Amino acid sequence: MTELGKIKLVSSDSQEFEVDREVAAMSQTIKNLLEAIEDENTAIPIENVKGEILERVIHYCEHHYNHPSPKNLTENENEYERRTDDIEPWDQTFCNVEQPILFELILAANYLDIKPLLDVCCKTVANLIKECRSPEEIRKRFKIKNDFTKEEEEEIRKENAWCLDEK
Amino acid sequence: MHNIYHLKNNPCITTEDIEELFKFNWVEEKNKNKKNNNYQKDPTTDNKPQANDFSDLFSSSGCSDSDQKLDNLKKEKDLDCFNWLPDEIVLEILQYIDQPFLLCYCSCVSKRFNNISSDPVLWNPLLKKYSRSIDYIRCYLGMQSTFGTVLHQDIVFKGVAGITKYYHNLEKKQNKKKKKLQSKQIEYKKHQGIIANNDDDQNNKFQNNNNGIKKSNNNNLFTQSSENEFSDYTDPEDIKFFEKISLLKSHPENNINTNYKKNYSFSNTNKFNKIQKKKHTIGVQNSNSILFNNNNAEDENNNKNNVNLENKQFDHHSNSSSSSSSSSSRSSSSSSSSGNYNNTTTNNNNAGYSDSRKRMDNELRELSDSEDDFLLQEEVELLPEFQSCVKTDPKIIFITQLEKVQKVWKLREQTKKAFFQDEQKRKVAKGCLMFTGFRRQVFFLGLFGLMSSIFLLRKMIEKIDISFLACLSPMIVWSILYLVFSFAQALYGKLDMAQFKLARGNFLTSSAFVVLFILFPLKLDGADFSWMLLVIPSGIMSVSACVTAHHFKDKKNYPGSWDINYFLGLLVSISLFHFVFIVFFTIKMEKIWDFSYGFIFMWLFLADFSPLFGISLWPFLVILFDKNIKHGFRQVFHETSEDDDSKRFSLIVMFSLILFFVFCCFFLVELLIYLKINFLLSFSWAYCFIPLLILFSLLLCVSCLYESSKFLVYVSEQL
Repeated sequence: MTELGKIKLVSSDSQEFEVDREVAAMSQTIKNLLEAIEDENTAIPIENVKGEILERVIHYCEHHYNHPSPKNLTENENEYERRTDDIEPWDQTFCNVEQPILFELILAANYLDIKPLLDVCCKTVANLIKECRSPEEIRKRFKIKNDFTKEEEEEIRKENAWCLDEK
Repeated sequence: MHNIYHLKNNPCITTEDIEELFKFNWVEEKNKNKKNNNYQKDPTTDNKPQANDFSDLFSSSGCSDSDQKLDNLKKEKDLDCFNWLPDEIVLEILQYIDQPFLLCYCSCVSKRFNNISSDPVLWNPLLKKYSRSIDYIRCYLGMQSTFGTVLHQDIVFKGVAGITKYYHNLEKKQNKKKKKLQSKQIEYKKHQGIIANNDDDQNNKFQNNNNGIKKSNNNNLFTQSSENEFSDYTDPEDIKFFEKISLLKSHPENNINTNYKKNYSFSNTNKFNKIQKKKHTIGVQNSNSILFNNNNAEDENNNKNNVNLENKQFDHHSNSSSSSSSSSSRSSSSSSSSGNYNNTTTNNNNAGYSDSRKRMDNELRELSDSEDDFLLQEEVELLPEFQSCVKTDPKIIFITQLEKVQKVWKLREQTKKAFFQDEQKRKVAKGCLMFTGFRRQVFFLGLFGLMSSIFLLRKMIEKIDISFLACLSPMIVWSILYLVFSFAQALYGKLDMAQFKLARGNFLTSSAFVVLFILFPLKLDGADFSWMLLVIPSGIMSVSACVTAHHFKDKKNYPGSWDINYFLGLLVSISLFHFVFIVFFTIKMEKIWDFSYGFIFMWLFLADFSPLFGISLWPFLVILFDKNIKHGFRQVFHETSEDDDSKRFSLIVMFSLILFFVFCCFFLVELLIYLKINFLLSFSWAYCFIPLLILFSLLLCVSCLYESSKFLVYVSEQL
């Protein structure tokens, strides 16, 4: 039996987490599911998210439920001005994790439809890309395989010569 | 997901049912239905987990091939984590990258990154964001002298170039567009009426439909997007610029299809994907000829070949275009990106084709909103055009124009290097460049200051009774020369709108001075003369500044872009100073005469260096209006430390700040005198002003002469 006002989430590796209903409702996916459930004791399976990640997601939701951030400045900005320097300190610490975890957080945020978390994770990854000074550095940092053929690579280099020449 | 809501209110549903629901078996059924509708997953994309794909997401307890693969992928430590993410999320990440070179780096990373990073969703905002920078470079390249141009231009264009011009012309062009649209809409409505009357004749119907579609498309899309998107995303001046360098084949105003393509590629990609998917699912070929020559069996065979080719193209296109969907449509659009549409196109016959076409029409209508029916059919007709419009995507436009600008820039740099390769010359040039933009003005100011100082010194030392007007005689000369030069510059100089406005302001101010010098001494005494001297030009400049500020206040880019901040800083500073002076000296002060001379000087400095005051206020305005002090500071320092030009700019800022504080000091001294502090009464404030004035004037004169001589050397070398 779950406590009143709490729900149980079950991760893909069968770990169970008890979360406040309101906190869980920060996820649109769960919120939609909760609206469909009459029995509050039903454990909700979050099949695509591992326990470790789900725990982090819940931690994020709990923090932001208890400490709602002020209205995001970026909302009022022009569409073309998406900033990555406005991540709150707590969020920065939260996202300061290994790449696989960060990417799994993105997947989880996307799956659970938690936009703030998705945004902050995307911003963190974008910041990682911004630190790179060449395509090779991006490949190296994210362990991306160069699948261009030599001809293709040459063509691409020609196409982007304006920024690569300065290297 | 809406099925869940129906289940909620169903009393027959038990907890077990709900649990079953959470296993999402119903989704599997839905997926089966999908498959029955000839929708199959592309086996080539199966190894790429699509987290947003409906089936992959929710059917994890059931069919979990992709999940297993995902797990396996995750287990491999050295594997690219980006592989776990669907294209839409990668696109979302890349949308936070605001530097074009970084996007280009991304496009060099891998094939997938190349596809995603070329998406118009990413490049269109960049095109918009950097259009002014490119415009600025264009202005910069348009300058004739290596040392820049006269007057304030070198300072002013840094912040203002192109913007006033842009906004000034935008309204006019928008009005023109609106008129054109209205006339075309009327035509379109008339044409719709014609189509409705031709329903009986099938062939005529299609023919008219085709014609009508093209017209309606022009109208609809132009109406929809030209006002909402095109005007937002393009700078008419940039278009002119692109036109000049043959980047756009035709002007959007002259050729609506260009607009259509552009807008289409930016705004209707999702819809387009849907149509593409449906179209291929039903088995209708892409080309226009198929739709209207369906009775020709030979064409059918040819079309099969076409279809195969086009499907190949489409597979490529769908991969790239699907990524352009926004975050809001992530989950719905991702599934469309991985579809394989090659399976049903080979079984067409005439009758089958006819049926399938009807089915397609129906399905297209289901897909579309009621008012877009006509448009959707038309979109299908214009598939080849859509494919061709990919060639003019914003990335290509952006890079091409940058390359062209770079070429000219390099040429300019080479010319510069030829002059600056000598270290001595470089040092000289560095010093000269500080005064480059306003050297003529500085020269005259220096000259005026020097001559005035000599007069004052003579009056002080030799106790010669030189009249007040005589002391001001250099200023009269300066004003007349200034008037002539600014008039000539406004007429013959290569000025953009901002520079023209500035020249016009200078012209008006100088005119006011000249008129005052000629008229007022004849009738009024010194006090009245100085009073009018201060108020009238101040009034002219203030009104001019306020009108321009009012013109700019509603622009949505403000306060986002630093150049407008700068411009407003300039305007605000001028208005503020003038307002304060006018109010203070016309209403409160009684003995204006005592202050007239000092304030004439001050006025001159203010008038001449008003852009500097603007610049000095600009960082504070950025911070003030940005509402984010950290970001404001970062922006200021970032933009004043990138290149040599910006460093020079920051030097000017510092210089202007120093001037600002000097003037503040003088102002305070004058206030003290006004307040009749005893020890100052016996001391003429003008005397303490003289040494500084002489020093400053000498410095400016020497700098200008030095620069002029170097410029002459440079010219002679070139010759």
